[in-house]
Amino acid sequence: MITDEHYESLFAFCRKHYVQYYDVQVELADHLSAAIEERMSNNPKLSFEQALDAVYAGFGIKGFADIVAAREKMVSKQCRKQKWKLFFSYFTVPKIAMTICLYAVLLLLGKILAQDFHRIVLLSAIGFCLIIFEIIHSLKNSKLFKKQIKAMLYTGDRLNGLISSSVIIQITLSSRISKVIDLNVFNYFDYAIISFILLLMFVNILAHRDFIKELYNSAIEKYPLAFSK
Amino acid sequence: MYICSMKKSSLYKGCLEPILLRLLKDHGRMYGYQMTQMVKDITKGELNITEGALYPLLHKLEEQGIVETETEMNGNRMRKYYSLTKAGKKQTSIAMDEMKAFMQSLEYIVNPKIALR
Repeated sequence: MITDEHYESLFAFCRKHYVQYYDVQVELADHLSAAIEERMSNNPKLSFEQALDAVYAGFGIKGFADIVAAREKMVSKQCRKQKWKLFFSYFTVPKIAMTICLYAVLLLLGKILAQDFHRIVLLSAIGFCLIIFEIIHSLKNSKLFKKQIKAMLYTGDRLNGLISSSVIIQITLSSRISKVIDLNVFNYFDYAIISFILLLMFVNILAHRDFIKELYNSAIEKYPLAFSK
Repeated sequence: MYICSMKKSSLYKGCLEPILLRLLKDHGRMYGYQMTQMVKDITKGELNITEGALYPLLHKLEEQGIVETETEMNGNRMRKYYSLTKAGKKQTSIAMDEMKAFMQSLEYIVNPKIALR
C-alpha cells in the first residue's frame, strides 16, 4: 500500500503534467495509485518513484493530454445538451402552462396599451428588468460557487450561455425604437414578436438558473472535497 | 491507438466499446483501473487496454448517456465508478448482437466451408 503522502503527491504529479482540474486529477490519482500498488507488490524492490515512472510511461507519449482533451469535450457537450433540455422543458408539460400564461399577459398588456409609444416603453421596462434579473442571477451564481476551492472542468461551464441575452435585448429594442422614431411605425405584430423574444430570454435565464442548481448539487455530491465546509 | 502491447492490435480496433459495455453489464459498477486489469486477466494477458484509449472512450460514453458515474471515498482516497444507464443496458444488448454477427461474418471469411454448408 502506498502512503497518504504518496497519494497526495500524485495530485502534484498531475499538476506538473498539465492537469489543472481537480475532477480529472481525482480519477488519474486513483488510477496511478492502484497501478503503482500492483507494480510494487509484484516487485517489492521497486521504489514509489520508479513505479510511478513506469506507470506514467504506459500513458504513452502524449501523457495525460488526450484524457484531458476528451474530458473537456465531453463536459462541454454534456453541459450544452443539459442546458437545451432544461430550456425546452419550459415548452413542454407542465412548465409550458407558465410560459403560455406569461406570453398571454404580455399580449394582453399590448392590447390594453393602444399607443405605440407606450408599448415601446413597456417592452423597454421589461428588457431592463430582465437585465437586472440576469445580473442578480449571476451574482447569486458566483456566491454559490464561492465555496469551490479547487478548479474543476465539471463546473467550468457554469458561466457560459447567459451573456448574450442582455445584448440581444439591447439590440432588439434599440433597433425597434429607432424604427419608430424614423418611420413612426410600430404595430401590434412588432410588439408580439419582441414580446416573444423577451419571453425566450426570460426562459433562458430560468433554464440557466435550473442548470446551475443541478450542477452545484451534482458537484457537491460527486466531489465534496473540492468545496470548503 | 486503442490497444497496445500486442502484435494484432489492429484486429481489436473498434471492439473496445463492446468489451467495456459487457464488463459493466456483468460487474455492475467498475473503476478505470479495474477494467484494464479485468480485460487483461480474462484474456490471460493477450489484451492490454491503454489508459489513453480507456478514459477518452469512457468520457464519450458518459456524454452519450450510456454510462453514468458516481464517486466514493475509499479511506482518504476518492474513487470514480462507472455503471450502465438504462439506455446503456439497451445499447449493450445491441452491441453484443452486432459483435456476434461480426464474429460470424469473420468465421465465414476465415473458414469458407462453414458458409457453404
